[in-house]
Amino acid sequence: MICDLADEECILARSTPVAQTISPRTAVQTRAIRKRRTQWSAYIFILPAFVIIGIFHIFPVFYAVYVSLNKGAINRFAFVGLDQYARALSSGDFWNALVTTLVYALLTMPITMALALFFAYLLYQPFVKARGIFRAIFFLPYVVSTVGSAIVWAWIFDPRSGLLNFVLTRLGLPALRWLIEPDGVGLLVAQGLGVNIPTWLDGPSLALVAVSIFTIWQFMGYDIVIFLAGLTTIPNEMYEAARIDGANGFQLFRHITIPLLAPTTFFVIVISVIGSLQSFNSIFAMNQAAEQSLGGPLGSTSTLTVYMFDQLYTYSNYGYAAAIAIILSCIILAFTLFNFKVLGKRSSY
Amino acid sequence: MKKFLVLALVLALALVFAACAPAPTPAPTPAPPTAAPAQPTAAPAQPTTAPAQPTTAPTAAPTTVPTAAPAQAVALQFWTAQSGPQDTALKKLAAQFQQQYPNITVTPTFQGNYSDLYKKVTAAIAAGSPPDLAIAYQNDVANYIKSGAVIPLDDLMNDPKIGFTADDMKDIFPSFIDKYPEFGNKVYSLAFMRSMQVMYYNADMLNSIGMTQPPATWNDLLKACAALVKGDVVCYEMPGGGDASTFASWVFSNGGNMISADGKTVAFDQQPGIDTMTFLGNLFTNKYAIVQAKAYQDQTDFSLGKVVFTFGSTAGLPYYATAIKQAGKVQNWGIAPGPHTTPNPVVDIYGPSVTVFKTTTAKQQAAFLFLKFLMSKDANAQWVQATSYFPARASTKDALTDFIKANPLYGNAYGWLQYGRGEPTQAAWNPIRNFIGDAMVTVANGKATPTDALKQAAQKANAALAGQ
Repeated sequence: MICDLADEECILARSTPVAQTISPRTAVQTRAIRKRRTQWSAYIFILPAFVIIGIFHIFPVFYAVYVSLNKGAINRFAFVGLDQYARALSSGDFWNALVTTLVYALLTMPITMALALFFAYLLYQPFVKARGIFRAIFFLPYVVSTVGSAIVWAWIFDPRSGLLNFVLTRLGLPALRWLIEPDGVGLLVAQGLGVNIPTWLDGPSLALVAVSIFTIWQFMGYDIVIFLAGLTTIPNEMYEAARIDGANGFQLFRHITIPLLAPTTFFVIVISVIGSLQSFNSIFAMNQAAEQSLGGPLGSTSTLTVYMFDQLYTYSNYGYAAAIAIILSCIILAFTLFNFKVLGKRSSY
Repeated sequence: MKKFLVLALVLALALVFAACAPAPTPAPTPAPPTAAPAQPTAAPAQPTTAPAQPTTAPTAAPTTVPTAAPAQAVALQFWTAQSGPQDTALKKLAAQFQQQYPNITVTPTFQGNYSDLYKKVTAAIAAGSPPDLAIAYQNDVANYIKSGAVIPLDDLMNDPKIGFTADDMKDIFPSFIDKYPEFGNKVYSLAFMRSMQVMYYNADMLNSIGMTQPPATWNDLLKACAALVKGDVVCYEMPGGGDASTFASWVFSNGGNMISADGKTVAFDQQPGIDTMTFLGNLFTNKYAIVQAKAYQDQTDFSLGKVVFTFGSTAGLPYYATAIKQAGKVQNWGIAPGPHTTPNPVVDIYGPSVTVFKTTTAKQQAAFLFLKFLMSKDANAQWVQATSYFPARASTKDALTDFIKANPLYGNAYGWLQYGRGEPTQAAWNPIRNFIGDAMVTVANGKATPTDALKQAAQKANAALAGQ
């Protein structure tokens, strides 16, 4: 009996033990059917995950793209093509928000990583006892509610009764307005010194610096845990061999730790870049805790995510907000690809 | 084994899909068979027949005796921004309503603050499952109207069976009936509460400089500031994002308007607005005022005797009273309409309203009946006593005699209702409030002159009003 390749029942009948003599061609066909069946069951197994990811991850992306091509009230959209993108790219507020986002990333990311590496290296030293307790202490800000910790930090930064100004005034320094100060730190320092500086040297607002301090405090613990995990993967023999060769502590760190920690550092960089560009919670919570308008004072803490949120919920500009979200996604994607292209190659040993 | 695995997977998938499906409503809510369901984009049709009488007689006599109610059981989801004692009071009223209309169940659900509530309602509209009625500010309602999600209430209000009577309409304050000029001047929301922007003053401090009355003019206020500001005492604390309600009340008190008569351009950039902003600038230039750095800082500092004047809602009266009592630093304090250049004081009256979403005719009618109940004399009186808001009806005052006696400051404010003015209801007014707030912060930080700051705000506001 010769079966048509599409006739599965025929092929199955041929593959039963009754048919003792199986030609090589039929055996191949049987394996193909079994493989096909196996594949189908695999698809069924991944279907629940696919459905969930499809509904909650993939569909919203396409829906956001759809919304970004429209304008008008929700449920009453009118197609406008790429107008919302053009509007964003020609808006001064959008570019200010983009600059603020990049400045915020530059303020938070390197300092968080440097401090995290420092503390992780310190905790990794054999003389440090109760390492688990320290690790928990450093990790605590990461797991504490952002809103709760923002309220505490708003009190620390409070111009009238805050802890920081209490310390500053006790040291004979002027009290600062912290979260409500729209002036740049460069300008404030220059004013303190009684000198004039060009506008481009004003620097980020003190409010943005204050929010960045909060962010660094919040996320440093996460980076410490990742770095600690990376440090444990470096073989001790490397350090021992280097010590025998006469390497001092700094040389060990520079020539053993840093290079062998590169894959971990690369991971932290990628995660931090994405996280800082997407950062919203800490800025929003600090704005709220300090009784500021969203992105305030005077838009000096308005990053792209904050600007997008404001456009969505305050101004009901759904299409425009979606266009900003898509542009931000493209920026994050570009940074991530750049990181993989440039740093990814250097991170493998 | 394989069959078992496949079965397990199918069950898992079924669970996933079941989880994604919309939750069933607590009770069946079919539309009356004789009434056509409202079209999604058109105004709801007038019901062809009046709904049946309630199955049982009401247990308490409301102001207007219920004459009609849906024949079938109706369950209404009422989304609110009222928490704590206000939530409790609303739930109590909902229970009383159900005693009158046993076949209507209203479930008030706290959804967070007004901003959160707006976000949730917007998301629900997008998902096609809005609540049946919700508390909302008029600007938010205007956005719901744009989405075609809410219904005009004119037909229901005029309905001979379930609408308001002529006496009701005389009794209800006009400012509690929200007409939307942008949308054919129709009524899309009704209010059962309002509050008033007033000036809180520290009478102890004013007495110490020989002022026995709160300042009635801007110059008097500046004089008081000059005499009282020293050490850590300031004259005024402005919220970090500015305060559009205070600005509006000051503009009104200077004889100005916030918006032009046709509602197409703003008017706050005219002379009364410039005078207001200049006054604010002077407060900061003279270091009489500071910007708040945390929520309710002005209230806390007022209770500690660190600020002479604050401007806020009368709804804050119980909170001020509690804070002042707990701090024990201020013995005598009061509220007054702000200083004014107009012959009579002018106060900004504002507050959220309730809007009814486009659902079935039965639900819409039931929602209106509940709203009408909340605006009734007895229910409204209960609400006022629980919240210190102002009632929707003039006649409610009769039921508040004891409350006013026990709360004389509330009684004073009640007397100023006659001087009330409201803020515009345009959809764009929400962002415009932000532009005004930004202008106030700009002036407070000395980043622009009052005129320039207002001009910039007005430019953005006019663009927003034009729908750009």
